[in-house]
Formats: sequence, C-alpha cells, structure tokens
Amino acid sequence: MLSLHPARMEDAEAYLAFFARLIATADTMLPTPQEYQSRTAAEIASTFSRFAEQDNQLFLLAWQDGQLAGFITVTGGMARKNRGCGYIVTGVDVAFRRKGVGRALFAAAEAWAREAGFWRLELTVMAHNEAAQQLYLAAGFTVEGCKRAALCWDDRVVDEFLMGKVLLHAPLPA
Amino acid sequence: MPRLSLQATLTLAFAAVSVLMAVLLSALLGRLTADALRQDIGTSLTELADQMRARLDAGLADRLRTVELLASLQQMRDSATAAADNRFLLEKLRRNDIKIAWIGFADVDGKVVYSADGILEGANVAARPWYISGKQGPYVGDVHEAKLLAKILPPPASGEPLRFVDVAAPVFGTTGHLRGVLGVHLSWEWARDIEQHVFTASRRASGVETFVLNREGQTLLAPQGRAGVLLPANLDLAETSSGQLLRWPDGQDYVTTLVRTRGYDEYAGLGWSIVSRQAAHEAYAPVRQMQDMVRAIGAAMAVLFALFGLWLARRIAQPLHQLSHVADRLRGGEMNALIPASSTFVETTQLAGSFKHLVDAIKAEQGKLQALNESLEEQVAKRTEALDIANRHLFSSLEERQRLVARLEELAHTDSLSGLLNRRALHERAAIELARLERQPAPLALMIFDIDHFKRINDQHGHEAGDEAIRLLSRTATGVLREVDILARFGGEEFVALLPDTPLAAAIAVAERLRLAIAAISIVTPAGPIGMTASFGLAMWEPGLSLDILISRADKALYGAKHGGRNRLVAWPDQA
Repeated sequence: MLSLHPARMEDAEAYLAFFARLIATADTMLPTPQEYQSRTAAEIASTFSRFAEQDNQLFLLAWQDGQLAGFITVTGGMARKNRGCGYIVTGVDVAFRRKGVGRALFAAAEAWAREAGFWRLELTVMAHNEAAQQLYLAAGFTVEGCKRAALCWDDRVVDEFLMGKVLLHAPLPA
Repeated sequence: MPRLSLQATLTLAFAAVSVLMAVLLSALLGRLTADALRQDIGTSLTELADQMRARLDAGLADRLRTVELLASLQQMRDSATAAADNRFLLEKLRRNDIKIAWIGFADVDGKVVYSADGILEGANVAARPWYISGKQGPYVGDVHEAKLLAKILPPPASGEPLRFVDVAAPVFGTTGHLRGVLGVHLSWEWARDIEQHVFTASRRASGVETFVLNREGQTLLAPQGRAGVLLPANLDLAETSSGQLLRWPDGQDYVTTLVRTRGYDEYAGLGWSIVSRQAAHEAYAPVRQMQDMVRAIGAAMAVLFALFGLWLARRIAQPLHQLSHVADRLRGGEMNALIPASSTFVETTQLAGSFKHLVDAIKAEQGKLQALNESLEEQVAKRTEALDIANRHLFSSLEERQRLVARLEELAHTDSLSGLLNRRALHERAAIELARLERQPAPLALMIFDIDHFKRINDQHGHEAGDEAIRLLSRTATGVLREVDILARFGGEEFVALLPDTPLAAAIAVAERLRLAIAAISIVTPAGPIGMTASFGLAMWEPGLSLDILISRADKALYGAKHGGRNRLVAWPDQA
C-alpha cells in the first residue's frame, strides 16, 4: 500500500538515508552526494518542523509498505502576491520508479494546494530529463519556457525548462 | 673500623708477604754473596801481586845464575882470552836480554877492562857497591839511580830517572885467584814491564795500582804520578796481607794486599814488598751490582707475587660476589635467577650448593603458598561471580518488571492502532492540565476532529484502508501539533487535542494547518487514490469549566462543522 502524509520530525532519519541514496543513484537533484554529506537528521527534522508551521508550505512523503519511496515539496511565496504560487521539488527512489509514486505525489500535492488556495504550481526540470517531463506533463504541467544555460551538470552547461500548471484563474483575495 | 673486602685483604696480604720475603732474601743473599765476593776480589788481587813477586824473584835469580855461569866460563877465567872475544860474548848476551842496560868486567883494581859496546871501558868502578860486594861472591844489589851511565844511556820513556838493579859475580883465574868482577846493570824498567804484564790494562783501568817497596819501605816502583804516595801507617811491611780493606792517608778506603819477595833457590831475595791496592768503590762495584740486581729481582718478584695474589683473591672472591649478586636478584623477586653451581674452590662450590638448596626450599614454600592463595582467590572469584550472576539476574528481573509495568501502563494509556493516547489517558492528562490551570490560569483550547465520511472509506476500501487512514491522520496531526499538545484518539475516527497556553486565534491557525495537512494525505489502492478531509470543533476553556463540559462544547462545534458541509472548523459557541 502506498501512503502519503506530510513529513513530521520523526521521519527525519528515514528521509536522510532516502535522499542520500537517491542522489547517489540518480543525478537529477540539485545537491551532489559530497554537498549532502554533512547534513544531519536534526537539520532535516527542523526543516520538517518549519514546513509544518507554515500554511503555504508542504513537505509530503510517500511510503511504500513502510519504506520511504519519494517526496514532494510545495513552497509558496512569502508575499501576498506570490503566496499562492507554489514551487515544486520532487524526487522518487530509483527502485520505486514507474510504479505510480510520482503520480500519487503530484495528485496529493495538487489536492493540498487547491485546498490551501494556491493558484499556480511550477517547477523546473533539466531539458534532457525526459522521463521527469513525461510525469509532469501527465500531471497537467506544460513547458512554459526555457532557462538557457541554467545549470552546470556533468561538467557542461545545460538548459532548464520551466513548467507550470494554473489551478485557479481568479484567486480570491485572502 | 672500615670493613675490608676479602679481595683487597688477600691482595694486600700477598703483597706484604712478598715484599717482606723479597727484602729479607735480598738482604741475606746480598750479605752472603757480598762477603764471598769480597773475599774473591781480595784473593785475586793477592794472586796477581804474588805473580808479580814470583816474576821479580825469578827474574833476578835468572840473571844471577847467568852472571855466575858467565863468570865460570873458561873463556872468562883465562887471562889469555882476547878482550874482544869476551866483549863479543857480553854483547851477545846483552842483545838477548834487552833489560840489561850494561854488562862489563872490571879487574882487581876496579878498572872496567871490557864491556858490551865498550861502554865505560877504562872507567874505575872500585867504589861501587856491586864491585865491592861482587869481589866477595855472587851479588844482587838493590835499586839505585844511575851514576856514571846516566850521562851515556838514554833516559826511560816514563820520564823517571834511570835506575838499575845490579847483579855481579867474581871471576877467578884458572889458577884460582881473583881476576875481577863481572857486573850487570839491569834496567829497573824491567820491573815496570812485569807489572804491566801481570796487571793488565783493564785491571789498571779499574783502578788497580801496584807499588814495590824496598826493605826500608822506600818506594821502588809506583804507578805513573803516584811516586810520592804515602802508605797507610798501619800497613805492616813484614806481614803478608790478602785483600784487607785499609784507609790510606789520602782518606780513601782501598782493598790492599801485600806480598813479600822471598828469593829463588840460592838467591835470597831483596826483601821487597809488593803492595797492590784498588779503591773500595771500584773493587766492590760487582758487589754493588750484584746487590742491586738481587734487589731488582726481589722487587720484581714482589710485584709478581702481589699480582698473583690479586688474581688469586679475585678467583676466591668472584664466586662469593656472584652468590651475593644472585641473592640480591632473588630478593628483588627474580626467583629464576641462576645460582652459579661450581667454581675452582671446594668451599665456594659447597657454599653455592647450600645456597641453592636454601633458595630451592624457599621457592618450594613460596610455590605452595602461591598455589594456596590462587585456590583461595579462585574460590572467592567463583563465589563473587555466582553472587554477581544472582545480582544481575535480580536486577534484570527488576528492570524487566519495571519495563513490563511501564509497557503495561503505556498500553493502558495508548491506542494500539494510532499510537496516540487513549480516552482514559486523555482524561488523566487533561485532569492534570486543568488542575494546573486552576492554580495558574492560562488559555487552553480543546479541539475535536474526525475524518469525514470515514464509514465510506471503510466500506469501499476495506478496514485495512480505514486503519491506514487512522494511522496517517495520527502521524499528520503529531507533525503539526507541538510537543506540549496532548493528542488522543477519542474513539473510532474521532480525535481530541488539548492545546495548552493557546488562545483562540492561535488554536484556529493550528486547526487550519492541520485541516490543510490532512488534505495532503493520500492512500493509493488498486482502485485508485483515496484522499480525505476532516471536520474540526473548537472550544476554549474557562476557569471552573470541567473537561466533560469543555468536550461537549467542542463536540457541539464539531456537529456544527459537520452540518456546515464538513472539511471545516467551527469554534464554540458559533454554530456553523
């Protein structure tokens, strides 16, 4: 059974191991293993706690039969004008890919975002990461632009696509 | 008194004994040999003087016999013999005996008729002692200085005055009457030659000096430059003496011998004394050398013996040192120190043996004691271990019991599905909280929430999904709430949260965040994802308000929320 729930401090240890494994096996996340080495469970726990205290931030974990399989974060802006524009970061363990984890994460995140009054979700993806783009397209995101030479990846400069999904055309004044 | 080491004592004793022995031996040997040597030295000096005496006596006796022989010749006695013939005979004789300075014949009137080489021929010698005595019979006259010949013959090489010893014999004619006297002047250099011959150059170099004295004690022959030497007053010329040590008038000690001439056959001798002397320090030089040598050998022997003593002392002391060293090591706890078993000496070997037996006995005793101690220690250790085990067992049993009690308490207070507090625990904790608030008033919010349409989840997706929904909601709620907040599963899909020190606005914000977080929960089943929402009722505590009333107020608000369309929050006393 695949279950999703917002992260709490108790999940920090599991997440630390999961994320280290993820960036060691797939080079699609921003941090490299060397950069992530010094992170501690305590830091992760405090991050989870910060997310839980905000009503326009979400740190969602997906568990497959008790094992951490993926995550998604939605971060709204700090200002009234951009508080409903959520930036998404996501990752799925290589072992759990193509099993609907990503789709479930996006669905739950979108449900939460709609409930929280977000009017837009967006993300960036490396131009060559077509597998991810397939997921995002399936989740209803569209390529809105190309950030040329946005990242240095594998010793070369790569483009990044900006993808977005509009949830609500006329947000209500908060 | 400082203690002496055995080694030092033995060495010193050996040295002392050897030095004493050397001193005594060298003194005794020196004395004995010195006496013998002195006697030898005196004897050899006397023998030399006697040789010289014999030669002088024999020499004069020979010449006397020669002159007598000549005088008895027919040619000499016969007055008819031509003077030239007799002269020729005398010349021949003189050539044969180079010590004959003059030989000639004087007639009854004392006129020299013929002589060798014609010396003094025609001269009158009637007044000369040799002529006067020679008329009476064979004559040997004492040394006298040359009178007539001094001007004719060359002086001796020694620079002394020319001196003669006279030998004469009467010549009787064929008829028996006295015709004249045949006389010979023997050069006194002859005596010096004998002296030089007998007392060799090396003897003379070592200070041996020889004097010849006449009957009156006048010096006839003295070494060069010693002509005027005075004789010791206590030297008795009538007595022969052999190697006497005498003090001479020059103040020095001399080994002195005296030998008197005694003639030869019918020649009676002239009563000369031959005195030989040698300075004591030169004569006894061999004695001194010998004594020095004896002393040197003695000293060398002393050193040698002392060294031997040192070596022997070491040999004796070494095993003792070793034993002492081993004893020290044994005392230091080194029980395996090896005791030297044998040495050169029976006594030290015995000592080492006794020592070894003693140490072995001590070792054996120690071994027994150690074994006893070890067995005691072992027993104590065993008992201690048994006690430890019993104690540990007791402790672990106690701990186990405490854990069990805690676990039972936890179970009694915990909802097994959600892991949250159960209803009873909520009541207990709430009672404590309310009691605290009665003493120290502060805002307290109570929130009741339940899952919307939970029955539908259960029915459509099974109890498993329903249970998972309860679990996920519990986790989400604990993530949103604070540590101090009290969260309990109140029953079924209903939860209660007590938020201490939380005013209404803050409680509303917490509830709203929780409502949103629940919206993110998802259970993916083969039939598709299940999302969920929850409805919230909120009530604020007021002083004096009981938990039951507070809960019922929140419950009323929840009822309002449900009626207002669910997935929302209502705060008492609002009604939807």
